[in-house]
Formats: sequence, structure tokens, C-alpha cells
Amino acid sequence: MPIDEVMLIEKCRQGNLKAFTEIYSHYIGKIYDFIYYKTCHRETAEDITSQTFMKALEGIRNFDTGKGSLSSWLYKIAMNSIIDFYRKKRDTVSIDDIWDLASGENIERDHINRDHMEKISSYLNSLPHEKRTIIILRVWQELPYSEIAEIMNRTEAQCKMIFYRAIDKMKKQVPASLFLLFWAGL
Amino acid sequence: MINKKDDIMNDLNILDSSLHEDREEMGRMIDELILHKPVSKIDPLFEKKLRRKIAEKIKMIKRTDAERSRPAVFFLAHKRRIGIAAAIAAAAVPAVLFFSSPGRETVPVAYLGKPGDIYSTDAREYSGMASPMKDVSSKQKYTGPGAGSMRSKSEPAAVMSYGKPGERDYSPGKPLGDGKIAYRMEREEIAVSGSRILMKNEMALKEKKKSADADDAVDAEGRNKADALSGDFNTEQYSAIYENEFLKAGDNPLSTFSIDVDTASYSNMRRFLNSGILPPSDSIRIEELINYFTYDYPLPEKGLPFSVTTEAGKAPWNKGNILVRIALKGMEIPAKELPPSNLVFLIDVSGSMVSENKLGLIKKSFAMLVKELTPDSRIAIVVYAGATGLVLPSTPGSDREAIFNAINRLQAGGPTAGSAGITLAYKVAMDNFIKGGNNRIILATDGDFNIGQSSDAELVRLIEEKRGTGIFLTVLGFGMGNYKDSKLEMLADKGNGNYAYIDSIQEAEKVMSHDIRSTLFTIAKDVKIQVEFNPALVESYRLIGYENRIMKKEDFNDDKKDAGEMGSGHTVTAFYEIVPAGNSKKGTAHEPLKYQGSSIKEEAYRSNELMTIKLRYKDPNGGTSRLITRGIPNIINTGLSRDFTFASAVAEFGMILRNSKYRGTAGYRQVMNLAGMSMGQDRHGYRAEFLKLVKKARELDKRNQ
Repeated sequence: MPIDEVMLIEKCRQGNLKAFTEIYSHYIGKIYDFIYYKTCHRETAEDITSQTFMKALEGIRNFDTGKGSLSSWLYKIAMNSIIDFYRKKRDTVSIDDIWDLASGENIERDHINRDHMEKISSYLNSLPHEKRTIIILRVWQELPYSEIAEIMNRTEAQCKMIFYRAIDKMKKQVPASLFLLFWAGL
Repeated sequence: MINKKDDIMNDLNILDSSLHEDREEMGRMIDELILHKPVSKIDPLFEKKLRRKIAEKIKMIKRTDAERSRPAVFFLAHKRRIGIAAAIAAAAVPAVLFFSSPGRETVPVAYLGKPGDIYSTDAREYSGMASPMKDVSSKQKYTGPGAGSMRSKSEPAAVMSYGKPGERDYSPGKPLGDGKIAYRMEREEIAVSGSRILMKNEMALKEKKKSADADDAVDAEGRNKADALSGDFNTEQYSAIYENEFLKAGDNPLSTFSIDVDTASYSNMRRFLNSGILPPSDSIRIEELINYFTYDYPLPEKGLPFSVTTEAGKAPWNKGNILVRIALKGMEIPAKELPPSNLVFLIDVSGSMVSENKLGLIKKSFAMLVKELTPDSRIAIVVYAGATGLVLPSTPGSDREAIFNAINRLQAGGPTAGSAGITLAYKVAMDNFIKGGNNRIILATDGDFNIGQSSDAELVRLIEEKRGTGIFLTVLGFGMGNYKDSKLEMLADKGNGNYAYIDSIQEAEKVMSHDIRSTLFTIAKDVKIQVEFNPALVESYRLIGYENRIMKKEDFNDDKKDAGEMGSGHTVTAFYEIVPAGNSKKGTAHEPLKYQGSSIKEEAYRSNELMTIKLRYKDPNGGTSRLITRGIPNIINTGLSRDFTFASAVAEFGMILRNSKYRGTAGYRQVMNLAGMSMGQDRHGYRAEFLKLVKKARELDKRNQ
């Protein structure tokens, strides 16, 4: 359902913050999914989602409609919140390693997704933060490159190249036998 | 439903083909990823809880806002401790006076609080001044003249950071002589609000860093980012407009721009105001507001496609300046002589068009248009969504029933592949091309192209390629929400066309019925205006609006450079605000040059011409341009025409909405007065509506009461 976002943003800017709840309703699902894909842990995803929307609420009055889309702005906040979250948790770990799946985090992954993740983790785990994020945004979130480029502060062509390289790298990482096994329908 | 994997693979096809030797394997990898997408399901309880939390936070922000807008007067003592004590006490009892402890020098600092003001002291001590600290924001870091007068002997005194831009530069940590040290303002900032004083050092620092980061990110994306293609759930987009500045006639004697007959910005502004919101400033293109109205300019002489007239008067918002109006009026083609039309309606029927104010309005609009057409016109309808299709092959205008039926059958659904649609539309138009006729594609969309490889640059290339074929493009913007103003304007601009935004059935009537001839029949194309100012009479000048139509001076004579089209009966109005020579004020004058003398010719002083206007245009089917030249005498009209007054009121309104830095004394009341006394006949009630919109904006705009 298309919502009239510029209107909502202008309303917020002019002091009517109730309009923000409409923005919330529209994006909560997408943003939560993104954070969940990045963390694969329900409580963590909820924490970060909540932080994301709080930050968005604080910043919405300074949002400039001329400078990019609301959606990519929210994604950007979400991404930074995830990085912040892990940075706080483990000061010494670089951003590339903080991410999720099989990174040796203590928090237990959600049971329902464990099977899925174990398979994918072997692919995704080999990738640095940026590549993983682009794969998530493109494949699981189905965002167009124009938007991914905005979120990642890159050009569309760069994002495509990063995506291609990421897939290429994963392909090489996965042992052929394992690959066939999955391909056979597992 | 488009196959997701194929979609992802196609995206990558633009890459060097050598990378795709192992395409199949990549496809498998992507399949794997899709197959193993984690199941994410948001807990509805959490969703509800967070919603409640947000609602509470909104309430809190509102409360803080209300408090901040309450005025308060504080007196702080010169010791930090006492300052904090004062702050705490002030939090409990607003508007209390505080003095320092007995025996010490008292430094009363009167502060009139206003929301967002930042008040700064040193970590240990500050030296004060007694003037009220207005205009101090966290971004202004200047040292003040009274600093250091109250410093204690044991500790180095800090310098109060306050003052106005232009005063001495602030340099953190650097001695300022006399043992004074300027401290970083960020170190200790106290925000004064109605009933609270916050120690803001950390908070402000964080906030500043955050906004700086955001700015950097945006800068990196470049100015054209606003034009970027949209995704499924993007927002509306407007290109940033950088207002034309005053230019010195001596340094820049030539001002060149393309005409613009678009009106979209006006109806878009109306939509905002009617929904009770001030429009974003970048959505306001002043020339489109002015050109929304029809003016009573003289008809062209025989043999010329349009007339050129000028008028000059005092600028209402700056009495010292002169406002010069350049007015163009296109010839009116009599109904009998209208050339036959070959029209292709290109209609966006993607999922985003489903609402009544989009596809519903499109159907009604096109029905109106069909009624206006002559029987010898031909009409075809192409739709585009996930797939592109020819809904109605080119049909003579006499077969209205078939056309109406095809329009009524239109349904929305599926994603948008705009570029494929445009390609097909151009093909259909080519196949039915009428030589010497009006060959035109009418695109109706919200501009939300979101599938495949349609990047802005590619679309522009496609449209520019087709421009040479003699097919014109009219772009009609519909709907709200994911409406892409920046892209649609660009399409029309590049495609020899015009652009209107249809927000209501009334606007549809204006564009498709009242103004149908100017919308559909071009009488001159690539119309460029070049003005040469006489530096003996003009100190500096500023073109109002037309920001994205400015051309290089050498482009004027270059027939390859595209410019705006003029329709039958169209009026085009442009204003220059001029600072007369010898009347220059601060900000426009500069020091005399050391190496370069005045190059003003003797003739310039002898001449009584304010400026010379040159126009270039081509016939609708022609390839070489013709030139019209007019000298404009330096006469200031006192009995200004109604149209001049009204158009200047519209320009003034636009400057207020854009919050222009050149707005001078512009105000809603003045706009209403000017517009009110120049309503004229107002056959369709457009000017009366304008007055209503000004009133609305005035109520909404709290900045400019």
C-alpha cells in the first residue's frame, strides 16, 4: 500500500509527531526482518529494532526529503544500530567479525532457524560485513540496487560488483560435495 | 510474479560478460540463498509494545518542546558550581534570579532563553559579558569582546563563546593574549530551556557528530541522489534547487536560460497546502508557479510564433530594486488549422497506481482529452507494468466508443517497467507518424519505475535518442506517496515536452480541456532566452526561478542544445530582479579591481537601454534556429499592469515558500494585497484559488507570521 511519505515527514517536521506512528506501521516489518537476518536472534533483533525506531523518531524532524529516501535512511539507522550493539558487546572485535550466524556468539540462535542457518552460515560466514549486508538486502529483502546503493553509501555499479564477488567467493568456499548435497534438495 | 532468481541474475547482466562463465553455478548459489532464507516473524506483542513506547516518547518530546518555547530569564554566577546550583534551582522554579556568593565578583549573565539556544561556559570558570546571548547556536564559535574581564587570578580564565558571525574567529585552546584561553565550546555547554538547564557537553557533541556523519553520507552520495531510482517503498523525491544568486552585470553581462512551460510544481504545492502541510522547499519551482496562470499578453505579429513584451517596476519585496518582466505569448492556432494528431497514451498500470487519485483520475482525464480531439486524430494506448502491452492499436478519433472502452478496461497491478513501455510507445508513434502533424506520447504515471535496469541515465539516453524523431512527450504526474517529481520533470525536459501534475479532476480539466491546445500543440521548440545587461545602468541582477533551466552562454547559439517548447497560446513569464547601478548595497558590491579596468563601453553610458533580450527558437519540425532581438529601454512603469502585479505576487509567494534569502520584506499579507488587487477577469477561478492557498500557507507557516 503506498503511503504518502513526504506528507508524513512534513507533518513530523512541523511538529505533528503522530505521523511518525504511520511511518512505524509501514516499516516495522521490513526493518525487523533486516535486523533479524543480521542477528538471527529474536531478543537481540527486538532490542535493536526498538533502538532503531527511537533514533528515527529523534531524527525525523531533521530528515531531508531531498536527500534520499526514507526507507534507506531507516535501513542505515538499523545498520548502524547493529554495529553499535556488537561494538558495545565486544570492544575488540572488528566490524567484519561481529556479525551473527556462526561467529561464535554465546546467544543461542533461534531454534526454528538453526537448521537453515547452519547450512547458510558456512557460506555467509566467510564474507565480510559489507558483502553479507548486500546479499541480505538483495536476496532476502529484495531491495533494488538503487536503494542498496543509498544504504551502503556506494554507487549501484559498486554494489552489483560487490554482490557478484560475494557470490563468487561463497561459491569457492563451499566444498563441491557439500554443494551437490544441498543442490540435491536438502 | 517475476522469478526472483532470474531477477537477481538479470541485475548482474550489465557486468562484464566475462564474469559470467559460471553463470549456472552462480544461479545455484543464489537458489541456495533464497531456499535458506531464515524465517523471520515479528512478535505481535513486541510490535504493540514498541508502538506504545513510541507514542510515549512522542508525548515526551512534545512536552519538552512546549517547555522550551516558554521564555525564561536566568542569571548565572561566575563559578561553575554556583552555575549548576542555579541551574538546578532554576529547574524547579523558572525565571529566578541568581547571584554569586558574597565576597566574589559577581558576573551576572542575563540570558533570554529561546528553544535550541546553547549557552557556553568553560569547565572551570568563565568570564562574562553583560549582553544578552541571542543568536548563539552551537555552530557559531566566536569569541566575544567582553571576554576575560572577570577572570580569577589562580585559574586561567576561559572565554565565553558568543557573538555574531563576523566577529573574531574562535580557535580552541589558543591563547588570545592577556592569558586568556579560548576553550572548545563543546566541552561545556548548557542548554537553557524553559524550566531546565541541561549539561549538554556530551549530548551536544554526540548530536553534532551524528548530524555531521549524516551530512557526510549525503554529500558522498552526490547531488543527483535525489534523482535516483526508487524501490518498492521509496518516498517522494525532489531535486535540490540552488537558488539563483545576484550576479554583477560587469562580470556576467549575459544571462541565458531555456523557457519552461511546466506547471507541475503549482499543483503539487496545492496538494500539500490542501492537506494542511507546507510544501518542502525543494518542491517549489517559482517559474512553474508563475507559468501556471494565463496572462493577457499581446498576440504575436504575423510571421512570428510568439510575441515578446517587457515591463519594469519596483520589486515589491525590495523597494530599492527593479523587477523586470519578460513575457512571451505563443500564437493561437485556430481550431480549423490544428494539424492532425497522432497520440500514444502511455499509461502506468503498475501496482502503485491502484488508488482512485491515480488510475481513476487518469481514466477521467483521458476521457476528457478524447472529447477534445478531432475525428482525424489517431489514438493508441500502451500500458506498462510487469509486462508491456498495446491495449489499443492506433484508432481514429472518430471511433470514440472503442477508445472509451479501452480506457475503461484499464486495471492496475504488477511492478513497473517504465523503460520497456517508453520504447514500445515510441515504436507505435513512429509506425503511425503523421508528417507535419502533432506526433506525441502522453505519459501518465507516478514515475515509480522499479524493475530491471532502468537507471535514470539510461532512461534519459533513451528519451534523448527519440527526441530527434519529431515525436514530442507530454508527462502527466498523478497521485501521491511514491510520486517522483524529479524524474518526471527530467523526462519531459529531455524529451521535447511539457510536464503537468494532476492532483484533482479540476486540474485534469485545466490541462486536458481548457489548456488542451497549449498542452498538445507545439508552435516553437528549443526556445532560449539570452539577456545582455547594460552595466552602466545595472549593478547586478538575479533571475527568479528557472534554476534548473540555466544554460551556458555559448549554448545559446548552439542548435544542438535542447531547450523548452512552447505550445499554442502558451504564456511564459520570467522575472529579473535588478539592483540599479549606483544603488548597490552591501553584499553585491566588491572592492575595485587592481588589475582590470572598467570595460564598459562608452556606448553603454550613452544608451538608455537597460538590457537587450535575444531569443532563439526553432519551428516544431525545423532544425535551424531563428533569432529575435529586442532592446529594453530603462523605463520604470508606475501604472503597472494587472498581470505584472499578479505574477510578481506569485513570485513573492514562491520566494516565501522556498524561504529565499532574497525575500527581503516579502510576506503573506503583501502577497494577498498584491494578488487581491490584480485578480482581473479570472475566468476559471484560478487566481481566486491562489488567494485561498496563500491564506492557507499563512495559517500553516509559523516561521513567517
